[in-house]
Amino acid sequence: MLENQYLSILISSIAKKTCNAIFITNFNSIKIALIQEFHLSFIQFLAKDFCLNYNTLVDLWCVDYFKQILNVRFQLSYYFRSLLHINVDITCLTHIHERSYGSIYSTNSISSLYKGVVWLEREIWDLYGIFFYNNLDLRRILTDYGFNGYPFRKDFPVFGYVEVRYDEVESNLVSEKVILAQEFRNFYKKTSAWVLLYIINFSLKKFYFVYFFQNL
Amino acid sequence: MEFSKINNFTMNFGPQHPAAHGVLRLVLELRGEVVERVDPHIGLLHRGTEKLIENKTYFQALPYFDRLDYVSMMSQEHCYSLAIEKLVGQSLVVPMRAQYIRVIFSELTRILNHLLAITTHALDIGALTPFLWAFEEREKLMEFYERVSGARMHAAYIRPGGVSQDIPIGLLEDIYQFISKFSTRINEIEELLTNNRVWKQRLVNIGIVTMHNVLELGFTGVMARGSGVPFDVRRFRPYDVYSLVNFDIPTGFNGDCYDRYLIRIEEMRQSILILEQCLAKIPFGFIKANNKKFTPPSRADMKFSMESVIHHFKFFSQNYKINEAEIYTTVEAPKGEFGVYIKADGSEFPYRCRIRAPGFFHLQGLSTMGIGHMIADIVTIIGTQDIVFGEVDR
Repeated sequence: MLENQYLSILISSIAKKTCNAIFITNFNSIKIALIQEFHLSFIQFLAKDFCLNYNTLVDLWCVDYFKQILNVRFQLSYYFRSLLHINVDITCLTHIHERSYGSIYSTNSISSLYKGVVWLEREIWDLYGIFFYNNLDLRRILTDYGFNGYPFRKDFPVFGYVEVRYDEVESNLVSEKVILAQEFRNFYKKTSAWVLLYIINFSLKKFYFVYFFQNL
Repeated sequence: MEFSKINNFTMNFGPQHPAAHGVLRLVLELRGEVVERVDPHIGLLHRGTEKLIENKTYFQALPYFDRLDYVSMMSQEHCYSLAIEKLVGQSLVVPMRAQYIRVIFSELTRILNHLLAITTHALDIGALTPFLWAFEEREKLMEFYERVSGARMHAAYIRPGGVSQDIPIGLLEDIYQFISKFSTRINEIEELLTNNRVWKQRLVNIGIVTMHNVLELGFTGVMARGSGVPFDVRRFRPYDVYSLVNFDIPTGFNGDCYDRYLIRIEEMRQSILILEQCLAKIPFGFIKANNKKFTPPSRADMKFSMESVIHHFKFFSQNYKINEAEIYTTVEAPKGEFGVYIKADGSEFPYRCRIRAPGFFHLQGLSTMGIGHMIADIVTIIGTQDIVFGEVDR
């Protein structure tokens, strides 16, 4: 039996209740879609289980599914590696659902299990505005001091809202509303015929996002 | 007798300190000269590369990768190209010659990076001479860059489907001339540093990273191998022709700055070995995939074939679309494991591009490594981490 098959059977037999689906995506990676309220306990199982020992977090990233998938706003992907099963990496997906206007997006931090996730969670808090409970150092990290908004969300424009410059008269930094000297040229998304077609297709497309549980 | 209370004091290191390797602001809490707390403030070079890439076509996104880690340019192009090739799949198969050229330039890039890493590290500590010598060698390496791509640093040479153009006649000969002399250059640098008493006093037992730290902090590359974690993407997830060449993975024992210095030296020697094998094995043939939907036609073709003109126009205006899929690819960049995640949504723009910068994780470990050391050792630790702010801040 291949290592990835063995691992997926192992995980599905023990942690059936906490995950929606397990995919063997290729020879050396497994993808697991988690149920959101269980993601901390499942990741704890991955990290601490004697047979799995996935104790390295390689990466954590977020994708903003703005108005694309019903009810789902963000998807977090955790990419784990184990020195024990060095040929098979595990990616865990969790989803953060659409909230009513004004309420905050939030999930549990895994910084109690992986020390290295603190800055990654800070980055996601900074760029996407997802709050991580129990992350003890959740400050902004990449954007400027006093920055407003979450720049990597899909509804945030590329050129931003304010620009910062040094003012000679006030001899201080001032931030002003962005005034583009020339209209923002979106060559592809608005002007080109083929992209218009694409946008129409896009709005008509049904998004398949069906999880199935592979009964192994 | 009167006792006066001694307070810790907080100090700013940077953002414009020459030993901070760019724009790093450290807030250090000091008791005397001993560091009690380190709080790195990053983001002063944040350009939002990932967001910009979401607004560019797959082809236009490539040059951004040069500008991330601006001392190991081609490794990052390599990672992005591999990601696109995996997304597209069968219609974008890289020819053998191109794979060899990519590996040759990845390894030249590794030498380029390590020369800078070691010698600026030495410069921070006070040894100026190796820096001057290494930059002479770097000049030669950047000449190789220039000869294949026309640019000395931001080459945009490795592209999805192969490389942008074939290597000029005589280049391989010159690379051979370079590497046959280069191990002597390494020896010269080693003569100055390896057994130097001052160098050892500053490096040995400074910034010790245990294996446990490596795993929990997500260190990769030299930082992981210095502590005895023998993970190398080139060995465990071989890409291009790394599975066809022999090389060793040097690992350290103590996990201190001195071990990591030795590993960088040894990695340069291993790069020479890989280069020698590649130069011996490189075949003739195509240098990019022959699918003209995904690679631009040559100028010569365009003079004779209308089809090529159409392909050229479509490629540089519309570019190609990639079906809904996602991929996470990593390569062994000189600084560590460089990863690119791309989510394609069926259009010609990536829906999401995530860049894993090894330096981001290493800098996070600065507080773990630095606490309890003297303030001058913080400079050593920043040097050994090989921080470049282009990639940390993205």
